[in-house]
Amino acid sequence: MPARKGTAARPRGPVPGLVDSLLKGDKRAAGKLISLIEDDEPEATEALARIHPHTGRAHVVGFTGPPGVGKSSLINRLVRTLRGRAKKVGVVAVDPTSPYTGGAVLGDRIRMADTGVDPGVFIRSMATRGHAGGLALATFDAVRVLDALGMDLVLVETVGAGQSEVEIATRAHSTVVVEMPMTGDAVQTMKAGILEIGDVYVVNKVDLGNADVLVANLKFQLEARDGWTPPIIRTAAIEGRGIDELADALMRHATFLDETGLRKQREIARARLEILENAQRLLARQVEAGSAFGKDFERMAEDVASRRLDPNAAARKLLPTSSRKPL
Amino acid sequence: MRDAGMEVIYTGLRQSPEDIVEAAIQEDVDAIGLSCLSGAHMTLFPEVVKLLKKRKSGDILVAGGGIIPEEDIPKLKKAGIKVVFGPGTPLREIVAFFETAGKGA
Repeated sequence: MPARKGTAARPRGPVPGLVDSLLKGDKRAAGKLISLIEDDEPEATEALARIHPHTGRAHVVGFTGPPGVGKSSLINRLVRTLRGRAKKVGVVAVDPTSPYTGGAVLGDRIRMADTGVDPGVFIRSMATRGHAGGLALATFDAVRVLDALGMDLVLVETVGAGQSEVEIATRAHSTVVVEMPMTGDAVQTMKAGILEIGDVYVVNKVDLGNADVLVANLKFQLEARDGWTPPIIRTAAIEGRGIDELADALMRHATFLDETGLRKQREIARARLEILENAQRLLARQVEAGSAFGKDFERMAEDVASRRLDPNAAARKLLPTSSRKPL
Repeated sequence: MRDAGMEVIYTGLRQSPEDIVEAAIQEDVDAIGLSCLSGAHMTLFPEVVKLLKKRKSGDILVAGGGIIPEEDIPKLKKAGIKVVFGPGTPLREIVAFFETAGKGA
């Protein structure tokens, strides 16, 4: 039962050395770099900058679906199948952080224990640490680290909130939506989000019976997008049924993305998002580090409270001069 | 420990020392808590410490617990197990240990 705390108690070593080791396939360096990024240490920016040129090789697959639907077990089986096809596989599994204590129990690994000490597998658990959308802020930076480590595929397991997890689809190359029979009526599958984000649909736990209804419902409603009709794969992860078909479907989708040029399009769409996010984060930091806590700030607070100034105008005064135009 | 604000990765039962060390390195943990009820602690616990050192991760703290006879505790500590919590150890004490260790190391 390993325990990890937010801030580093142990030294992590200089970034250039860690990145060199990472590129040579050193898992210890990978583990340390992910922590450094996750904890948002000052060296994280340098680490990511050094890693970036060495990424872009791994095919990133996101898994989403309600809690308890079997995502971890499915990934466990899929990792084994992909290993059988000589693919190196990274996994980033996200679990929720308690909003009250900041602590978390990360339990996905227990269902992924089959792969143990296989050198071609790297599994990292991650707590959301307050980030919404079923992912942690650092999830895709961790994916980058595993990409640079030389993984052919990186599988990302989201928290599984179920209906608001569209973020994964904007980041992954392929998104797998996992459902199971007997969890709701046809309206559940019609809800926004579920039908739009999947490149592959999995109906897991088919051994429970009644899978036909769900499969028929999905088939009826799923439409082709950009020339790709999402396949529906029936699985029973615990028994290992349907896993080969799932691996095949993912490989087909990867080839489809390459052949149609969609991979490039998705990469660019993601890059746009990432640039904007970084800009937002940098700006937020500048505001906080700058005049925000000085005398001016206190005076502005008085002015806003006594209605001499409105909050938006006050906020603009905190920004660097170049960005003080009203928005 | 979760309620004390820590992130705890549960690996499940009956893990080999190799599995545990591999998981600890991939997760880059600060500490490993081992529990053993089978009586094999004298072999398994020191093995974990040995493997950690071999993987240049000797700085990860190792704590033990379970059904462990009093007379084994000094031997385990000598083998690099930082602390051993016997049955009935108050939760508060365990949490406090990891909190102090996390700050001090």
